[in-house]
Amino acid sequence: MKLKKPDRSVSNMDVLKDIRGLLSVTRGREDVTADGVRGESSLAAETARLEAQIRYYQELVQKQQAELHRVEGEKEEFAAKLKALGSGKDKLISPASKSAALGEDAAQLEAKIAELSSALSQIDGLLKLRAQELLKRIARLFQEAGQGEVAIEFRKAASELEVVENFAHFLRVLLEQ
Amino acid sequence: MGKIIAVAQHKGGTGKTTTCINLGASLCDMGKTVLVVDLDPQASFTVSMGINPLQVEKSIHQVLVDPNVDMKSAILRRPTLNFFIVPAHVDLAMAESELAGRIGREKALHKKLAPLKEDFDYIFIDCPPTLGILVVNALAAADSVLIPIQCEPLTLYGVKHLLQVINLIREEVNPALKIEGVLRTMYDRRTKLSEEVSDSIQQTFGNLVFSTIIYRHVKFAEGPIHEMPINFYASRSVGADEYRNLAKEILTHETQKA
Repeated sequence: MKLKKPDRSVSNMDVLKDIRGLLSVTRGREDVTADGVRGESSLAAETARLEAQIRYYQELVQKQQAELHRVEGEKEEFAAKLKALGSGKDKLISPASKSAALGEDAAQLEAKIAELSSALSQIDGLLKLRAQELLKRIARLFQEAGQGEVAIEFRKAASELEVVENFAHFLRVLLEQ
Repeated sequence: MGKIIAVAQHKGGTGKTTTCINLGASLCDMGKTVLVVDLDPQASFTVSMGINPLQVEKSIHQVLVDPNVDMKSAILRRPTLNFFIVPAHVDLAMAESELAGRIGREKALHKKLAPLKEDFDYIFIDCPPTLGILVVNALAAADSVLIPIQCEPLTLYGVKHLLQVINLIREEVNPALKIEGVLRTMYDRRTKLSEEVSDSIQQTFGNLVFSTIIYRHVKFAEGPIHEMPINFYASRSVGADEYRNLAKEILTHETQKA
C-alpha cells in the first residue's frame, strides 16, 4: 500500500500558524491600547480593512476556481486516454499465441509452395511428352509423303529430346537426394 | 511631529539596510526630512553610504553608552545625499555587555532619539539581525516596526521570533508600538517558491502587507559600490520605482490615518 505523501507547501508550514497566533495577540493589544471606544474613523478604517480582506479572498477564490477548471480539464483528458487504452486492450495478443499463429501460416504457405511446384513439374513433363509426340507425328507425316530423310531427322530429334529429358530427370533425382 | 520606524527582522540578508537606504531617499525626494540610525554593529548602512566606520568621530555606540553624548552631535550629512545619518561602529557589538547592568537599559535609545522627532519627518532605525538589547532598544524607541520578509520560507521563522519580542515589548516597555507593515523583498519572478511565500505572507498578515513588492534586482547589490541610494545611480530602474511606490504607500497610510 502506498503511503500518502505529506503536503509540503509553504501555506501548510507550522510557523505560519504560530505567526497567526502571535498576530492575534498583537492586534488584540492594539485594540486595547487604542482609545477604548471606537470612533467613526476607526469604524471606517475597520470597514476598509475588511473590504480589502474581502477583495483579497475574492481574488483567491477566483484563482482557486481557475485552478479547479484546469485540473478538471486534465482529468477529462486522462479519462479519455484511459478509455482509449481500455478499448484497445482486447486487440492485444500474447507473444506465444502470436508465434503459434505465425507458425501455422508459414506451414500453410510451405504446403502451398510444394503443391504448386509439383503441379509445375507435372505440367513441365506433360509439355515435353507433347513435344516428343509432335516430333514423332511430323516424322510420320514426312515418311508418308516419301521424304524418308527428313522423317529420320525428326525421329532423331524426338529421341534426343527424350534422352535429354531422361538425363534431366536423372539429375533432378540426384540433386533431391 | 516625526515618526520613528524600526526596520527589523531576525534574519540577515532580508533587505533591512537596502530598505532603510532607498525608502529614506525616496521619502527625501518627496520633500520629507529623514534621519537613518545605523544600529547594526556590522555597519552595513554606514559603509553603503561611503562612510568608513573606523574613522567616524562619534557613532551610535557612544550615544548609547555615554550619557553625555547626545544624538545630534553624532549626526552626519554627506554632501551628495539628501538624508541624515547616525553611523555605526564595530564597537557597537560591545554595547550589549556595556548596557547589561544599567537600570532602564531598554530605554537608552528612546531617551536620545525622542527629542529628534521634532526635527525630522521620519527616523529609520536599521536594526541588526538579532533579538538582543539593541533591537529591544530600537523597538522601545520606535512608533512602529517595518518588517522586511524575503520571499523564502526560512525568513518566516525570523518573523515569528520578532513578533514574540514585539508582543513582549508592548507588554513591558512600549504599549504604543505598532506594525507599520510587512514588506515582501527579494521576490524572484523566476521561482514558484517566491510566489508561494508571497501568497502565504498575504494570507497570514492580511492588510498589514504593503502592496508594493521589492523584486530581486542586481542594481540593489551595486549600492555599496556607488555609495548612494538607488535613485541616485539608477533613478529610472525598476528597483528605484519600487521604493518610490513604497514611500507613496507609507505617505498615503499616514494621510488616511490623519
